[in-house]
Amino acid sequence: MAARKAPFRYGKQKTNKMMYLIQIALLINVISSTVFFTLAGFDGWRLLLSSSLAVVVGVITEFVFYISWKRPKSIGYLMLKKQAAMIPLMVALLLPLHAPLYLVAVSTVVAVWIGKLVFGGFGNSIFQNATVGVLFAYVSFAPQIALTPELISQGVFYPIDVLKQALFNNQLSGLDMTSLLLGGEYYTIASGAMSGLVLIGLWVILSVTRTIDWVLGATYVASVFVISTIVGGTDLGIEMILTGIVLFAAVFLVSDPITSPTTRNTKVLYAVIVAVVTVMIRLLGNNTEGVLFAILIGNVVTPYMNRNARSGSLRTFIQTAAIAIVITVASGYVLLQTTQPAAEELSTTMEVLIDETY
Amino acid sequence: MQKQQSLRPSSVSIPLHNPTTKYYDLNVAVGERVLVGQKIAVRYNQEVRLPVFSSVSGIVRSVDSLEYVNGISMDHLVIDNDTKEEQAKARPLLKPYTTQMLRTQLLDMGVEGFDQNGLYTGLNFNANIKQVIVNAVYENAGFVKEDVQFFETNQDALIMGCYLLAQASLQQVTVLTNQRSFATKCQQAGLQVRMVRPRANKAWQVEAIASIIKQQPPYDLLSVGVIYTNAHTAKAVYDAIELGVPVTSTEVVVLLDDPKQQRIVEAKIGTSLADVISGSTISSPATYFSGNVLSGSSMKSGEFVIHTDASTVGYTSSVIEEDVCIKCGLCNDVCPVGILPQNIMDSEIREAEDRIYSYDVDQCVECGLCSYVCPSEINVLEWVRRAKRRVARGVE
Repeated sequence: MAARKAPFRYGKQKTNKMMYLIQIALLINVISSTVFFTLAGFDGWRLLLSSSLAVVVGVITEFVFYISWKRPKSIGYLMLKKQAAMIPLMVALLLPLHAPLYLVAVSTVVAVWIGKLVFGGFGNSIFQNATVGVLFAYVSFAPQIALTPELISQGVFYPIDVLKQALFNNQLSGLDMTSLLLGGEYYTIASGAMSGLVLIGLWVILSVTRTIDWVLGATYVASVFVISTIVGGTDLGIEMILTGIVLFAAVFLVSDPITSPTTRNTKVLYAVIVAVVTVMIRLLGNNTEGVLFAILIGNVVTPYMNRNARSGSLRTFIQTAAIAIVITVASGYVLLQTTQPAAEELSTTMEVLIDETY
Repeated sequence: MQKQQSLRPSSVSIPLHNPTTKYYDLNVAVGERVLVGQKIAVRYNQEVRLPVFSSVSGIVRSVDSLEYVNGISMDHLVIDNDTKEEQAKARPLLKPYTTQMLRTQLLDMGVEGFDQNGLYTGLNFNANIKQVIVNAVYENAGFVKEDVQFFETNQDALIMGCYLLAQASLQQVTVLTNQRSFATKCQQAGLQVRMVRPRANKAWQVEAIASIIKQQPPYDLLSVGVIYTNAHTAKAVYDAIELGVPVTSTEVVVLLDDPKQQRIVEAKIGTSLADVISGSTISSPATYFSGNVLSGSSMKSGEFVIHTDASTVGYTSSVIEEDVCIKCGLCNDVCPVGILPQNIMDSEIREAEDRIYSYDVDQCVECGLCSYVCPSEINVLEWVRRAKRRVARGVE
């Protein structure tokens, strides 16, 4: 007779169910983004193609890896138990729409093999798997990620580029907030970040079903908003959230349970660190989008935080929240002090350069 | 939950000893006739001697070794039931009672505090007791519909039992309840009352005790001078002192995988589990369990009998399919003492001793909520228990 130990009842949350819900949310994002791209007059079907390709490549990668590891697993097992489709979908959604298909395939292989399988497969990663693959594409295939001449000739631009330019010139970007929120007008750097509203909706659904911890996404977005508001007012705060992949990251990347810390306190700190680095890279760095680098840096700090967290009591949480608020506000002021002279200097240099040239 | 008629088993097997009192002296011989409530044995350890009573009238058949709990075998006295229900003479305590008389009578009637699993403590009045807490809520409330009938029919006995406990301990008695009418009656009788809201994903017992004793409750409540016991004990106290009869039967909640088959059975002490759950369809493989669904004990065989520490029995045929830990932190969020079970489990798996020692593992009250909320169905509590044992070994 089989004997098992207590508990004899389990809660309603199930790991597989949670991961299926995330994959359904990703699929909803694929479909909605396809629709938005098509409505805006771009080749929306490319997203369907690239996400299907990514899933096929990702599953084959896992299949081959498990064979090479002499522990062959069936495709169904990989899809249902090892969530083989989740990371490829994220990779496809994080790359721009015009990214060549070979780049989608290469990024998926990097994400799944180096990001996920090398660390022991599903549940054991240190770095957010999709981030690893997409950052590889950003760094190694920068020309393919950048807008193609045809697109530029059509007058297409990344909203995040416009924002970055405007920040350097110390002016407002002039982007239409409503269309950024509703989606459909701008061509985004990540094809999954077309509509802010869809992402907010997915975040609410996933948080209400307790699939993701709402603390992570909420703290992340709030911190980005607060820091940007201190640097450049409420308008900049809203622009920072709606451009680029901040909202996508809040739903899928920062809230990823596997690579985020395990306690409520450290989750708050993690989200704040990612937010600070995001804004820092956006304001000071050379890269257009700082979110992916920020998440990777957050992932680096996560094991350290997990090892050193000792208490999950309410008192510790209040202390940590207070520390998080101080970090957020302080980094906002530091960035305010750093960006203003830099921007002024840059604009004077530009003026001098322009004067010299013409 | 449907209530069933009381069972009339053809024979009962009464445990003669238990894990805390390992020795026993038999007072009756095989073939002898015994009455309901007759003292058949004395079980003892170095400190206490407690009587064992017959729950039926009939002929003593044999002494058998059966599983008590967790695969531990104990000697059981098998008595053939003649269903005549002949009672032994009741020995109620004569008024006025003194504290010492009450304590002696409770020992004579074998009332030592029932369901001594989880946070429940024994009725150890010799410890420096500052507070007595009686949980008048069914321990698995929040998971199943409660046994409201027991509290309605036995209201006065329960209140009187609590009152007698206050006299025996010379301390304030606080009653935990979720029934408003019962709370009002308790207050009228001069008892302290704390309303609780039992929920599956809340350690409501720990929270209630913490708010009463104004500190984090340790696993061993007696060490901070708290007796924590349940309504069945309060009723047994009343029966022992006012009526002079020992506990010969108990109300057992039978939990099955199908919620519709759950019911309450009035069972004689020593009724076999097979008799209690007869009539329910049992699919194999089944695990039998008793006590709290989050931290109770499981039985390796079905030969288990009902005893005073089993107010809940059940079986489950669900098989655990443990997944990989996704580090969601639900266990850390739900822990009532805030000791981060996931992080403890992580360091225990890695055998990182210095990390394990730096956690407050000894604060764990073994409520089992960490395992309950785990979406991957990992037995987190078992890992925390390992860490506790490791720390305890290290301290020695």
